Amino acid sequence: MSITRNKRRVVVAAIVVAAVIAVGIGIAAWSIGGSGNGYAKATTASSLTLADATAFTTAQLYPGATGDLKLRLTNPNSFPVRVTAVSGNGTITSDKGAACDASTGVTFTNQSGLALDVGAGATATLTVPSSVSMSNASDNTCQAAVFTVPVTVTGTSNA
Amino acid sequence: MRTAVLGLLAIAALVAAGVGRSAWIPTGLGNGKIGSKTMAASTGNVPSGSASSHSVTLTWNASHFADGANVPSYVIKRYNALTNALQTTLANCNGLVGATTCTENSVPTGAWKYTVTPAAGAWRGIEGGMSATITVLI
Repeated sequence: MSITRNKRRVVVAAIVVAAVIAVGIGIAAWSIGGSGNGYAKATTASSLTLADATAFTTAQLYPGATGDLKLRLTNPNSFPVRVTAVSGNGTITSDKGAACDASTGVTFTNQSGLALDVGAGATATLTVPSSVSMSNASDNTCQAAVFTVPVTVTGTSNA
Repeated sequence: MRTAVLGLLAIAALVAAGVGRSAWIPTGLGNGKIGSKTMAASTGNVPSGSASSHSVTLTWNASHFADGANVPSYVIKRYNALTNALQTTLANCNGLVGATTCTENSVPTGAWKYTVTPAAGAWRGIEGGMSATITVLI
């Protein structure tokens, strides 16, 4: 009798463990990148958005120098996010026109291992340190410019 | 037995939570921004110098970006003191000079004047005024 009861308890425990793991896998499958689709029964997570960070820049670059990229990032989700990586994904341009754009001399180095935090539903200005360089190829018209650096940001839930 | 079951449940819950948390990968696409300095309104300072045989040593004060930082280099030009004709600047003072002094070697006999222009790569400031005449004797 006692052995049968113990067996039943073991079976019940195994079922509960399987259920908990299944829930964990379900959570793991929630994705809030790109497509915005999810498999969860809770809220649908959203992509991070980037706004114009021009107002938060300072004059840092000149030929031979490196500087910090500024990101104005909004996290629309109900959980805090930690940005862990930023990668360049397009041509860098300036607000100085064709002559500068033809030879900005500006390059962005992909960054990983970052820890830039944005609260739930919050907007923050993030600094990606020493990630942008300017070579001697920068045209003379690139002085006093603001450069636009297309990027992809990747983060993780920081709850 | 009850203790064992509770232990299993706790472990499973922790594992599941860890897996779930690590899998949240929010992404976003957009633009970052960064600004550049300017030396467009920075004028080179008038150099002073002296000749020793056919070497001319020049010194000048630093020029600055608009934010007050020193510019990283300079372009030195030499002119004929009589005709103001631009000459080819020779070794040690040619190209970008990354200091506020240089010694031009093998300078021909003659009377010369020098100017300094703030520079960084292809960026240029404003060429400064001419130095006093420096005479290189035979």
